[in-house]
Amino acid sequence: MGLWSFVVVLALIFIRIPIGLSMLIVGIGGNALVIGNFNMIAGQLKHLTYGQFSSYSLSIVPLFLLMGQFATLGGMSTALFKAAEAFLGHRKGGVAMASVGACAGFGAICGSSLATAATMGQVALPELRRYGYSGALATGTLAAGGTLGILIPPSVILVIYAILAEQNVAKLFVAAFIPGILAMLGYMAAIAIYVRVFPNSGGVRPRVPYKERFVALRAVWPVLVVFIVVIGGIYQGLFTPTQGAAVGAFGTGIIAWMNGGLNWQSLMGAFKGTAMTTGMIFLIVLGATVYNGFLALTQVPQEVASFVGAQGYNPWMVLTIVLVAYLLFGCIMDSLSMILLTVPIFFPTMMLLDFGMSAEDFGLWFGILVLIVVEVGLITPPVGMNLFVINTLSRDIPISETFKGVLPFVITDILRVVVLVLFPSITLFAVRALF
Amino acid sequence: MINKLEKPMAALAWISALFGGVALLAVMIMTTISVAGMSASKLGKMLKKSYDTVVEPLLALGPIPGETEMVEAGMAFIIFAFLPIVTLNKGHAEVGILTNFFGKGVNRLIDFVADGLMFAVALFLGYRHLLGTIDKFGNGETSWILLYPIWWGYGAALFGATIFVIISAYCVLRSGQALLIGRSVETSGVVH
Repeated sequence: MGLWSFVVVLALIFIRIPIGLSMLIVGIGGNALVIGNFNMIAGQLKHLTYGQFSSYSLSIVPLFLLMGQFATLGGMSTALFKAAEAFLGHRKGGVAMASVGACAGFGAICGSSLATAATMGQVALPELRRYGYSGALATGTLAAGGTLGILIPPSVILVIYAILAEQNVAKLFVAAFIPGILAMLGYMAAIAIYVRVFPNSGGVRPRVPYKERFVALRAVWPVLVVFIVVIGGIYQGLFTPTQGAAVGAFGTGIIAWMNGGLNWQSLMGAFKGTAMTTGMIFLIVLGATVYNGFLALTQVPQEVASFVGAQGYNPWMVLTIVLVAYLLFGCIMDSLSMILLTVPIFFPTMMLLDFGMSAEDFGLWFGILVLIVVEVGLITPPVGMNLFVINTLSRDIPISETFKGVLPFVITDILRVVVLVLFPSITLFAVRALF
Repeated sequence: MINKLEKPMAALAWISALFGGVALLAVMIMTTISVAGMSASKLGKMLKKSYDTVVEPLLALGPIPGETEMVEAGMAFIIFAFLPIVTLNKGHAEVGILTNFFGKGVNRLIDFVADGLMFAVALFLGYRHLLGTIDKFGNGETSWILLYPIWWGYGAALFGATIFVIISAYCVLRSGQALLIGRSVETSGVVH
């Protein structure tokens, strides 16, 4: 029955019933079917909703979202782009590379891909067009660059994964760092190759003298300070991730206020933006909790795990299948829902397979791999959200051009996943060195 | 008639989100002050231990007692208060890839069914939460550190939970009307 329930959840999702609602309905209904009446689930729900919504570890989510809203208002996107452009702009494809670099910088204070894509898009798109970059390359770059928002810590999705898989958030943030930098370099390499294959797709811009470069760099110090305080503080154990998020939101709020970006009106906008995303996330979180409670009752996760374990499949084969499944699902579903729906089933199964590493290492490594493959979903047609976010910023560029332009970046994403699968130490190196 | 409700409902959902936003800001500031106090006291202790320097004001500081408890109760209020605006503006995550191929009529029917289910679930969750509040009121349970009655947190969260039920009921009417007259009612606009 547990497996059938999964089919029902998917069926509901595919007829456009909101994802969190689908999981709630099947979770409540399934529980009642297994027990024979509603008493158990009704009893649980007296305190379950409050318990979930007041969860201390989840409280990091709205705080990081608020921080992202403040970061958007703070004008840091412009400073980051100008600094990156000063250093990279004169190269072939340099303005596009600068956009990627600026996205990575923005990702360090913003835990959301959509916000990163939207914010950097507003700053970088006009510049890219001004220097003669093709619509395909310009929008593809920014859609892909946006995914750095979530790869580079802080990251809302990693927080959720950490809770589901019972992993240490601080270690996950550290583990995500090198793959995030690799992603940035991979995107830059993709641009370098792209503009050489299609020389008309990018223009050039004059070299900026070194003195001006450092002046531009100086303007990004607040980003650096916030990043170091938040991630450094969480890593050092000076404060909990929630406290880190609160301090980070406070800091970015102050920066935004000092830069004149935060006033009553924009604060109201920030509230609304935070409310919309937080409400969406927590309905899914609640749905997933109720649904997973029901699944645990049917023992499906354990059965799937012991079934797969008993078959003696090659662990690497299973991992490949799981990652490919995420890639395919990512084309049609948003990353958070996918993680909440699948990690409770996949993770126990994967944990039983022997990859020649400790359980803790595996939890971190698998988390980063999953994070990357679900993020690829944000830039793959037909429902890659980042593609649409960027496309709405540039109405004159047809979405088909954006689809084409993002392809090279998807290829580097897949290559990176292959490299990280083959060499787990790339992901685990920083954690081992620092903890 | 239903069209006339759109504005007051949007206002209601917005007020709820605004209260949630202000509470989130309060949680943020309170936590930051607590972290500052904690860091100052750590610094004071370090100075005393390593350099034998006693800085009285630093040693007198510390984290805000019961900070975690306040964050938790605050968060429950905040999340409940955020749900109405998402629901009113159709901000919940959904997968439209298949339904894009369906006609408008079928999609309106799906909207109506989805809104109906959302209302049923909102009502069920809200009712159970109310019973949970009464439980906590009855047993007089208090928090560990601040010793405030747990039902305060539950009761505060009823604010958002109630508005969530009202808004989701309105959404059923709205999509029901759209289904009947064959035309969608303009929503008040989604902010991303």
